[in-house]
Amino acid sequence: MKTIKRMLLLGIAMILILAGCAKSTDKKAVVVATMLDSEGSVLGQMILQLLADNDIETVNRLNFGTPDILRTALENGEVDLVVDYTGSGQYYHPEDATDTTIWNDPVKGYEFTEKLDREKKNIFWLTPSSANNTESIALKRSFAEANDIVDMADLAEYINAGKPFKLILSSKFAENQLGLLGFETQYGFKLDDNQLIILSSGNTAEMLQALVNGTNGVNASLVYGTDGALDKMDLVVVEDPKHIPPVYLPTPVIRGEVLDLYPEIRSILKPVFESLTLEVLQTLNAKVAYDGENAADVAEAYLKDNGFLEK
Amino acid sequence: MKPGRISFVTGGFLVFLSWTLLAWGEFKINRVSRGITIRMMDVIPLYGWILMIAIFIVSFWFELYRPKIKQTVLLWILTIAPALCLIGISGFVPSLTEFDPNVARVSLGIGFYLFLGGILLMVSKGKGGQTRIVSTLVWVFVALGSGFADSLGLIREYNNLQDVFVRELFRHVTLALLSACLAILPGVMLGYASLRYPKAKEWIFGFVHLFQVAPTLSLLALMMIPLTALSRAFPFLADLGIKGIGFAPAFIVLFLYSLLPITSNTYAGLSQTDPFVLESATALGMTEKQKFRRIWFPLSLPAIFAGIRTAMTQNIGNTILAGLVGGGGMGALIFLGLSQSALDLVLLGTIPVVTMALLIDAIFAILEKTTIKRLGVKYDPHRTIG
Repeated sequence: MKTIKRMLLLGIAMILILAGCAKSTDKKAVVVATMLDSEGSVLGQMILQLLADNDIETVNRLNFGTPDILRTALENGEVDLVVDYTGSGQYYHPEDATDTTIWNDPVKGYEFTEKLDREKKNIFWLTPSSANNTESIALKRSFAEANDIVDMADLAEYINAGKPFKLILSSKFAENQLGLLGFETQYGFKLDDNQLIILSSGNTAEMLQALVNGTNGVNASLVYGTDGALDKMDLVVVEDPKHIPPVYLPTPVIRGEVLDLYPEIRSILKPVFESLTLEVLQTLNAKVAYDGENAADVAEAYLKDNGFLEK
Repeated sequence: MKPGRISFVTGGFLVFLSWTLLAWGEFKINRVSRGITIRMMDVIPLYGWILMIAIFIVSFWFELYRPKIKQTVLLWILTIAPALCLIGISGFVPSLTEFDPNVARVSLGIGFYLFLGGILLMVSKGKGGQTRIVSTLVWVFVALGSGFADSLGLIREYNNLQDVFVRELFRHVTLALLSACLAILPGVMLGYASLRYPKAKEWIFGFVHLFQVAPTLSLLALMMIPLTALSRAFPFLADLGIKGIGFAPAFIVLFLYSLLPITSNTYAGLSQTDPFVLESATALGMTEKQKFRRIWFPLSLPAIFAGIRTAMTQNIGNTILAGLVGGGGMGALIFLGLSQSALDLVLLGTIPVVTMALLIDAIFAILEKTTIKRLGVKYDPHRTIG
């Protein structure tokens, strides 16, 4: 019987400790969270370091989870400040996103998402970076050169000639009018099921590895604009002159209540995100994902080299 | 053949196989590229080879022809072999390729793991086998922490994420153990209730099984909806940390998962108590309460303990999924590694989970024994489920 009593006491003690922990977190600290990828680590670290430099207390929840989990957490107030991508607005406000043409325009897409989030959810999109993390198709450099493929029209010609082609991609991209379906109608080709390998997640690291190693005969892969490893892996992106997939600009997104508490966050992050061009983000991501450097160090070095933090 | 000899010979065969056929590791010039295969001959210098083969042959000769001579010393020497090989593999440098020494890394391959497994089997033979197994593993961990194996991908990832690693490890343990601990009392009570009220049994078992068959991840996702609604309706809950995402849903799901092993084991333990013993207790004039406290409960304790043990071990593994809903834990590292296709990072998250599960299992085995001894219960393995 003693054991039971002890266990009971232990259990109660643990509940109390847990409750204590939950209460002791300072409500004013800004909870910064990002997605589970290298870019999330780098941009998140930048935000953490910049806020700390401005004496704003933060809670580090970087690499919080998948994009949809992160969004839910933001809407529920579990996290305060995240990095999101402008094109995702089409999934957040599907009932209003009937006009699909706006997503190909960086400004219109941003304005649409920003306005709806502000009015409906009290969530604020701050100044975006100019780096377009959009979806494209990547090929091996040697393959592209041998077959003279530069843009999507060349690729369509190659496919229509009936030559071997196997594309690895995510299900979200495969079934999207602003994705593969759009490519097919706009450039005039059609892939059948055995020319596709569809993964449920949008994890391009796996896909690129399959492409580089030629796993299962894969010779083309979905890729994101800011993926750092492209150059080092000797891959090229097939140009898309018609800009079918949406523009995805990485943007700090913050809950209204927190922005009211710390209005200065807007101006702290603005110059930094404006400085993040496509090339810059690719280099930073490559350092983390490819060279295996610590994301905090990469972020710190960038901020210091560019004068956003004092050396 | 004696079981000791079987494990020795099987282990020796594995070691031989790993030497001759398999890749011991991969040298990668960066984190994600395909690497250069490292074979055993690349790593160990000639005299090392001769020494190893000598030890190998001698120990086999002893084993097969001079079984009476003690070969404990040889077995003890073998315990350090995996650790030395680890350092050897980590020091591998390809001759022709250009690379950046701060970036390049070595990942361990199937050959090494097979070698480790083979050595573990070999040293487990005879008296003191368990101590030798533990010491082999301790040597490996010492080699990993010594600084001589720093070019291993595993160590590089660890050095990069040290503070995150410690934080998530702590969170993982808290999440897994706390939820299982809290499930003990309700689990035991449900088990007792299903014996006392046979009509309720179906319902109770249906309830606890329901959570077991629902995939953990979907349960986590389903949890988000009611929890979010709750925390919105009662803001004080949100202040306590009960929100639709993060710690709370992971905790609740793990709690529900721990119920089944505890409840069903309690039920099994209670229902298998010898009816004659109970009858004697009634004859002695014991009340229901006394009977439960003095007879039923202590007699079924081994089974209940086994249930708790299962719940704890299972929880350690399941907690990985909390990483997907912002609950943290080792899953955060594993999924980050998967998303960057950095297998060393995945491994860095997995190894502690496996180690913890084994450790907790071992701790509970000891705890079980001592508690039962102290209560003076005679353990009859044929009567109890465990």
